Amino acid sequence: MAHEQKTFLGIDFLYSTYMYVWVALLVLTVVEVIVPEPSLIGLSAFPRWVVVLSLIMLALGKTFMVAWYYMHLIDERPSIIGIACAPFIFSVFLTIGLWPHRAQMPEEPTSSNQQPAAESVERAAADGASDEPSSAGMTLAADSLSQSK
Amino acid sequence: MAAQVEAGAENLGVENGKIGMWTFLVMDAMTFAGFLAGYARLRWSPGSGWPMPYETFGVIGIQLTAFNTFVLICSSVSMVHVLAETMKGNLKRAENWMLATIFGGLFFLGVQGYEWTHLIMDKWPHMLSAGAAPPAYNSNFASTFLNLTGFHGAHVAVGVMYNVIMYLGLRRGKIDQDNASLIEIAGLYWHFVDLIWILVFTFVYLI
Repeated sequence: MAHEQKTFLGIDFLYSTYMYVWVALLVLTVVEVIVPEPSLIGLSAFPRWVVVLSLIMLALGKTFMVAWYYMHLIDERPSIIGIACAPFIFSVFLTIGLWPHRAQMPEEPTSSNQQPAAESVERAAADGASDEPSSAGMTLAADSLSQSK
Repeated sequence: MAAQVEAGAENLGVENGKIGMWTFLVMDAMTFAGFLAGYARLRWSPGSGWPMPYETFGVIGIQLTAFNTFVLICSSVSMVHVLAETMKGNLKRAENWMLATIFGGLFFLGVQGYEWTHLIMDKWPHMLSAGAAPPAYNSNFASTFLNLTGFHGAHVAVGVMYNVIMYLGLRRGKIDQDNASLIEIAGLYWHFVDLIWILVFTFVYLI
């Protein structure tokens, strides 16, 4: 940990990395609140997939900053960094395991008869597609391939 | 001066206490990952009828929680200052920063209790009286919300107790720059609680 000895109004911590990380975390939190409700700053709503993807990226970025700087992974031994990575690897397998049909069945039977509102159908489809970009993207790619033939 | 607390032996170049805390945190992170994955699975089922959080909580409710996030991030950075001041030997300043950290945790819990009370009384009255009609949307929304925020709130409560113990250790002279790693390990837990809240806040309130 590097402690710079500069002082600002008699306080010697304002120039350290921690404070930059703190400011970045606060700014990113404000961005996160604005992304799903852009009307707060007078913008029109973003597409749903943009909202979901950018929120996931923002959250993972903030998580990384807390773990890397505040939990000192930055000057930790590689073994500790390896331990810290384990839950993320676990989460990837968990996510894949919870949507087995996306990997196996390219043409999922639509359950539109169970859905009262057409809006919720669109929303569910958008959510499902953006939640799991890799396998859903492959499914969509397979669909478009089969349609083009 | 009271007798010091041993900071613990070192193996593999890392303190045993730190390895223990990291192992616990990894296990805890996997528990949260399971809860979050279950939440995602329920929400992104076809026809789940899941409400948008912005419409359910209202913008004001989201902003109250965003302010709560702000408080938790600030208490995380004050925990960093506790460690920095302890390592420099400024134990009085470390105590004050620890008080600020504890206050931040208590404030977070207070706002969460306020939020829970109002959500249950105003939005989900069927949880209190059998006659009240449940909301039109999927009731898994409420259950996963209470599960995730409640499990996290329990972690904050435990973290506040942990920090109070560390504060007493600082006050009584049992912790100083020679065994500041006790503060570092407590800080690991506290930052982890902050880290998990970043994820829970994003996935439950914002997406």
